Amino acid sequence: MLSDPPLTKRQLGCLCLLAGSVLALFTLGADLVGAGRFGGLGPVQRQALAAAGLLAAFGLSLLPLGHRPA
Amino acid sequence: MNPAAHPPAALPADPPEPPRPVPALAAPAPAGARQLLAAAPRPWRMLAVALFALALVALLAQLVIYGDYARALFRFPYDYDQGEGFELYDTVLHARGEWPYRDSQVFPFYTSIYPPLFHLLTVPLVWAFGPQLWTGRLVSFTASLLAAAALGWGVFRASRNRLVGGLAGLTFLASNYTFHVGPLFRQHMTMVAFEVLAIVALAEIDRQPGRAWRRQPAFWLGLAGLLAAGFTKQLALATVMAALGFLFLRGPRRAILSGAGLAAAAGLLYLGIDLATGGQWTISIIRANLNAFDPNQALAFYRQWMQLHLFSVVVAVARLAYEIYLGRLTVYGVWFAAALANGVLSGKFGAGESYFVTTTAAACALAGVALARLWEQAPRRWQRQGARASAVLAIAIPALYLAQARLNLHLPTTGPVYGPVARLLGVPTEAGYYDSQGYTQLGPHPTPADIAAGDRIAALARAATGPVFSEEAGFMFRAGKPIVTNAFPQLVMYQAGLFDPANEIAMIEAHAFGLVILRAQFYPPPVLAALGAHYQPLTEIQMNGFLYRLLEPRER
Repeated sequence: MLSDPPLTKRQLGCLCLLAGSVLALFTLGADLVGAGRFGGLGPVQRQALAAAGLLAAFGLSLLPLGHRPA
Repeated sequence: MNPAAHPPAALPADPPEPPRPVPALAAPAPAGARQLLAAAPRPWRMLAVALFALALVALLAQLVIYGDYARALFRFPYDYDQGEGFELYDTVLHARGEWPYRDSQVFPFYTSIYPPLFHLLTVPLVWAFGPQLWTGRLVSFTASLLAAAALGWGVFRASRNRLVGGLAGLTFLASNYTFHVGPLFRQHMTMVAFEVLAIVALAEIDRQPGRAWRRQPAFWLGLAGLLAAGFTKQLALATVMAALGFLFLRGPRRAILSGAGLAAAAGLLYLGIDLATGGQWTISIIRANLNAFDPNQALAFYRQWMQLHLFSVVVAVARLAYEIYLGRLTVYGVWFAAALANGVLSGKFGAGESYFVTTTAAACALAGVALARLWEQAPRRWQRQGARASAVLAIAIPALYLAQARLNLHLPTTGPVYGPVARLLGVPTEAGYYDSQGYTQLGPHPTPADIAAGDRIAALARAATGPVFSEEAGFMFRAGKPIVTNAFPQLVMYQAGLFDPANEIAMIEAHAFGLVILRAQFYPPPVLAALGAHYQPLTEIQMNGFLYRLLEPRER
């Protein structure tokens, strides 16, 4: 059987940081492809960016916790 | 509780000595509430027992009030909450072997926007007793009791503390939100019951970490519960994601395989229904549910939910922070976080307090686990001060449940029993019903006058020529008339560009309906305008605090 160890807190932190960064990039990139009805940052974009920031900050806070199981 | 694992402890005459530190590998089996209470010094123990008894009495009294409210609704033959009659019609269609997902642009302009499982569960009762609103109300009420029992059992399994498990389950039932929607002919509570069953089942994985998931019946039960919850109401998606997220923490590869299997099963079912309904399933279930979002509405619901469930929420949030940074995330912690985030959907047009019932269940479960474990671990955790800490917790825990029960207080305030109780509790009695939430449409018992008002509306519908255009279906079942239109789905589908009311307006202009019954006027604006132009007021009748406007065709 293949090994399938539980996630560590550091790994969970990295995943959250990655997810937050990707969400932020997609949110900011929406304007580049002409999506949205607002000039600049629309209300949905602002909310998505706030969520992305929270997710990334949460991920960062987990990084120092090392290899303890998440 | 297994008596062999937890032999009843003799009550000590004197305060016990502080327990010595125990090596981790020789940790004793978790102590139950009786042992923990027995270990407290006598005066503290007396106070703790009294507080636990008081909390149990308060929560059991709310349970009795809940049962009485359900009994009152079972006897009420009309819609108590708008939409109940349409869910009964969905059930009737399923009982006939027909799908309720239809093209709503042709007569009778009807479709359903909810998945079928709750209605299918109610079908046997409709076969046996006919199209009665009490059938689905009974299923929903039973589901709420099942959810509470499963929740309490889950807390007990996680902590071996039967007392706190019981209080956690009762606290869920005492929530204003559970109380309001529990005995309605709505699919929401059945979804919550499946969610709770799934999460409690998946919690077993942590109890047997060395055993392969596929060999654990609880794992399969958990996946089946998730599938059932999703096919009861779409809102269960957050719980599905939480459960898969928890599995991902424990074993990413196995979680991905589990998620793929679950998605395949759900996808096959979805495609099968979509094929059988000619694509109307996707239009009704997915596209018609993408409604406008109001962040202020969501914030108002968050604020109200937190005020009403403050003590449970504070403990659950503290436990979640502990699990994230000091301990290990449990399925209850992940579920609570996901449900809390999912509450944002309460900002959708047409959403309500029911969107927080899952969050309430998750908060009750996580808070119960937190308190029971903290109490059980206190003697070891604080060593020299352990006995004192345990005694303090023995008093603080029931006090907290008592305070939470007070925050959720709701009861009728008139009658030979409720009247004196309400006066004793010092709550206002003028309105006939008190709810700590403030004004609520749901909660007060329907009266004989409400039934008489419903009978009058049904009699007018029965006497009308041809079909009746009614915003509530309950009257039509009593009048023996066909169900025409489903107001709210029609409105949201119109807003989404999925409903063209031209055919409906043509029938209104032709006076094809002998009577129109309006309550909240949740129809597309052009439909309301056509009704105003071609129908005139006949009478107004009040039922359950709502004014029903009845219109007849204008003379040409």
